[in-house]
Amino acid sequence: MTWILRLYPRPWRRRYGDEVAALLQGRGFSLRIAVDLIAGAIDVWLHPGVTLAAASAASPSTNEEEKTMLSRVLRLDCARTADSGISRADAWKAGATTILVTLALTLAWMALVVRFPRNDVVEALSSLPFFVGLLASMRYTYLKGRAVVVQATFIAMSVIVIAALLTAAGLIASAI
Amino acid sequence: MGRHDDELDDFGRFAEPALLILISLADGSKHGYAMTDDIEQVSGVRFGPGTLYGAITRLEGRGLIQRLDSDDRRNPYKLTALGEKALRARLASLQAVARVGQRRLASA
Repeated sequence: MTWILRLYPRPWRRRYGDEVAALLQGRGFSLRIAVDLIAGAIDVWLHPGVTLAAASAASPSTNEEEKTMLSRVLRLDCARTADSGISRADAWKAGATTILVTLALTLAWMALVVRFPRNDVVEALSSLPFFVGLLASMRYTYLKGRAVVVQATFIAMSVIVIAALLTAAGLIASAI
Repeated sequence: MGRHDDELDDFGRFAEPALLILISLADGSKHGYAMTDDIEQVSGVRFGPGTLYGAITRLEGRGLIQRLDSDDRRNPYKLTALGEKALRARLASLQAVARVGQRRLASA
């Protein structure tokens, strides 16, 4: 089940990924744990400052790269909400869209896993629900104010490109 | 002496897991798997890894626990002095609430 850890941001994975992977080692698929991990990933994405604080508290001198990256993420996040005219209601809508679309598509993906167990292509698509959820939420944030056609084209093209890349990764994995 | 019983107040849904982690680490350092087993024995609750590490991330960020180096992939964590103070304060607060509840039940 370690593939679910790909949903977590890289700085978090660097810090805790190995530990959680060790915790999951040898376990079969469990819906309860999958949902718990996905909820955890959403929490980490929504609260990047928590990981930053942990990295800072743990090692003030050895995690400069990690801290710099997270600081940039936080600054970008603040700048975006301050300058782009995104209201609080838009932010809530975007968050709800991300969560609901991710959960709905994750359930659909889990049905695929049950139908096609140990299929590399299906496993490679594990992170697609989150990307689709995130892209769908952009109509309330980055794409706000654009024509519906532009929004739909951007989201659809992005989903197609990401799905194609993940499928290619799965095909390569199954061929190796 | 500052107040330490409010250290876990803004942990949201991670407040209970965080308290149980602090209790688990009170008798010595443990890695994630050992914590999960210990917490299950103590409270009957088995946290998933997402919940466990959500709480660990917050506790580490507050300086209430500290990760120890290890050659293994499974790093142990220990309670810090601040974590011990926060745990003592929270347990005292819970005991006070429990005493009031028991007194009221006894007099009902």
